Amino acid sequence: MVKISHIHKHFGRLHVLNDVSLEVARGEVVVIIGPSGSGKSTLLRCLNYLEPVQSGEIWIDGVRLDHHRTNIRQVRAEVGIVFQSYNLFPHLSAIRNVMLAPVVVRKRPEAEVREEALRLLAKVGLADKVDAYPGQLSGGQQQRVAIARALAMQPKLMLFDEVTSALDPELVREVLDAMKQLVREGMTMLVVTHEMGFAREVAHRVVFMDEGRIVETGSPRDIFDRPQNSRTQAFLSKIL
Amino acid sequence: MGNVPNFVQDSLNGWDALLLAQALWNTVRLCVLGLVLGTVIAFVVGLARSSKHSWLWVPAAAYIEVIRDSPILMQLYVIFFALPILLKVEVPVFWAGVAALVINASAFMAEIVRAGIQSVGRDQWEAARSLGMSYVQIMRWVVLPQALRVMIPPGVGLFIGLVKDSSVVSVLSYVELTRAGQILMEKTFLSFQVFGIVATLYFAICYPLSRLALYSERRLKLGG
Repeated sequence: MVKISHIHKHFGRLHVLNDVSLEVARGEVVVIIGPSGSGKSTLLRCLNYLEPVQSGEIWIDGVRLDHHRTNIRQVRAEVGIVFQSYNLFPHLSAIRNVMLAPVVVRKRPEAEVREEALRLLAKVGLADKVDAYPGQLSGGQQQRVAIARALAMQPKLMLFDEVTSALDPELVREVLDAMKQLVREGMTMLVVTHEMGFAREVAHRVVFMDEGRIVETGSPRDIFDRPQNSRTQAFLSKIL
Repeated sequence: MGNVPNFVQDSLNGWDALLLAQALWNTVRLCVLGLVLGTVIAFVVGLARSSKHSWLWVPAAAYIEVIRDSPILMQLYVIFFALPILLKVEVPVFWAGVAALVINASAFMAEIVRAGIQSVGRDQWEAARSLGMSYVQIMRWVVLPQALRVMIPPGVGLFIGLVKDSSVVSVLSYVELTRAGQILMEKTFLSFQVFGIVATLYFAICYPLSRLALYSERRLKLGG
């Protein structure tokens, strides 16, 4: 599904991604952990070309991400991303947020998209907030609209970039529950998170990153209970 | 004294009212054309100005600066007196006036458009791009609807300024409101009444504009 091979990325003199390689199989849930500034978010952003890489290759479902424009838009349409700060469109109601891309990008009929948007909003527990604007919703509700918005494009892969970091603790659970639902449905997911409980519970594989490199990767048990690398041990001892 | 014939008209009559009505219509025509065409060009220039490609933003910035930094009266003279010599075409006085208002409005409005576009955060662009939307789709559905709210208050201020600037066309003897006022003043010497009426007519054009702005601002705010 995803094949990342020896990618490098610099921001000026900072080497943010240093020879990163990773493969994700269809239906697999990979959770990426690591200290801030370790390149986790950048890695996700490279996967739908919000950030270009300087060298190396990224393949998504058999298509190589390169500089050709239409190709990029096509890949983006099939890779959903949910951001830390929700990034909903504030001038559109919840359902319009969800409907916009399928109608405008996929050119699907509005009535059909509307039905599906209602179904998706119900799925993330917001059937009663369909016509609310983002400004009228709590952070957790906004983030669930953002998940529904990404799902409306029927993506083959979902990326989650610290989606609970900006939320009040009591709102984290509702968002994680929506994500667990997706895991049960067999969605391929790459999740950057600090929620170690979530990682332990749902991840098929955990990747530990530090200073732009993948330091260690393994099953949740391996990483959390028997970390091999000293940096992984140091990181986990600080947060667990 | 009573035998001296009186050439000065001592009150305004029906013909004068007709002249004022015609002048009002001329001012409105000038302003509507200036406003509509000016806004259309402003969007083109403003979008170019906010582009990251230098071949787009450099000419746009140059256009804006040249127009903003010279008086509208001088621009009017250039269009009416200099262009005909350069291009060997005669510009009717009405269209010279429209052209001056259009280029002026477009340059100032372009900056408002740019500021509006830049007020929409990078996160909105990223969210829209990550959904596979193209530049045009993002502009149309995500950025401009949000930018419009920021653009309306200064935009209306500009339109009101445009209505008042249209009085410069009077220097070419085009009978818009200000020129009509001068004509009636010379005929009647009723300066207070004449310019009182002219000022009221300007107010009658501008005031609904500011009300409309308030209304649309409020309506756009409803959406969160």
